[in-house]
Amino acid sequence: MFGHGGLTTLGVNGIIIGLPALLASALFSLRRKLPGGSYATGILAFTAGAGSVLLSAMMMASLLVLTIPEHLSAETEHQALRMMVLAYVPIAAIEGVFTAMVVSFLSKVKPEMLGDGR
Amino acid sequence: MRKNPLAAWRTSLQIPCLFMLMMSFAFVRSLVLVPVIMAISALLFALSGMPVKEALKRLRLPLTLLFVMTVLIVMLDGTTVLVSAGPLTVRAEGLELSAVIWGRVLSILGVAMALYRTAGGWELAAGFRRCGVPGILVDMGMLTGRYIHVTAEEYSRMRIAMRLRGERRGYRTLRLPGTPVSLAGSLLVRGFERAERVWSAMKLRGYRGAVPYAGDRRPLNSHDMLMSLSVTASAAALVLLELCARGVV
Repeated sequence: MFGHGGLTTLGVNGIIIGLPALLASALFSLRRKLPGGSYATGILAFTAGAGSVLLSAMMMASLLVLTIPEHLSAETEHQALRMMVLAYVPIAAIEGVFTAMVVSFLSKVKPEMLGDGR
Repeated sequence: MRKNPLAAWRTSLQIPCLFMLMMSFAFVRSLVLVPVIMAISALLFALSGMPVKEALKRLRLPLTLLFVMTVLIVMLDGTTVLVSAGPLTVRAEGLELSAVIWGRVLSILGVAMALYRTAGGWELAAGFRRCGVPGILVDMGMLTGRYIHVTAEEYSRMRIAMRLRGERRGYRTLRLPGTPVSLAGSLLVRGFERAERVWSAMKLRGYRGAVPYAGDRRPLNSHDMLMSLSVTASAAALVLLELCARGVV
């Protein structure tokens, strides 16, 4: 619809969203190996939530910087991408806090959803 | 009885032909072709019989986001300034690009709504299966479409219950972050338990990885061929016209 590729960028979009999600899952699964109990779970949940959003934003910005077309001004694009990544910082923080709180809720109400207490 | 020419068109042909048409709309970058694609889309939308109000209701949020985006494009894209009032600037290139984007979006969504209206539900699933889409993907799509409404109803019931228990509405709830968190958590827990129940029921009914959708098994007729050829020819003509407009052909 916007002439940005759509189907032809499906693979790279899948990696931008999917790879950070997989890394976040791997990071969160470390909670069983770390001491600290619920504190470690909360910190890892925050890191996984916030980190995945930031990583996705940085991956997208990096890909766009590396593939800027010749007819576009590189300096303007860099500035726009810098602003875009900065705009994702508060979003990542909110995501991290929300994820940590939901994980805390689930660990009290239904721990088997987190793979605990089966 | 099917009198609607789109509804009478075999779904397993309708899906690839309309997708091809949507891709040809996406290929258009010339402003002069925008009325053409909008006319084709409007014709198909009118044939589907979908009320305009219902379509606008479903598309309210994406069109609002698109509006915000195109306002930025109009103000920032290009160098030819048409109107300037302080920080607000209307640029010619931005205006042209916005018109093309709006034309493409409305045309593609019009065709998508026509497909959804005429095929919809089981027939659409059967059509996708006949087109070779993996069964697991079709089943996931169908289950999502089925249970998203259930989740939305659960959410509104829980909000009513919270208000009856004294939750304050509006911005004041921002002081209580636990409220949306417990709401989201409860929805997750209920969804998880429902998913386990549905999965057990599906296994008991013999589910083996793909629901056997029956679909339209009647032989191809002249109406199917006519619709398929005319839509395919329209898509090809649009691509050719766009290449001519770009000076490639």
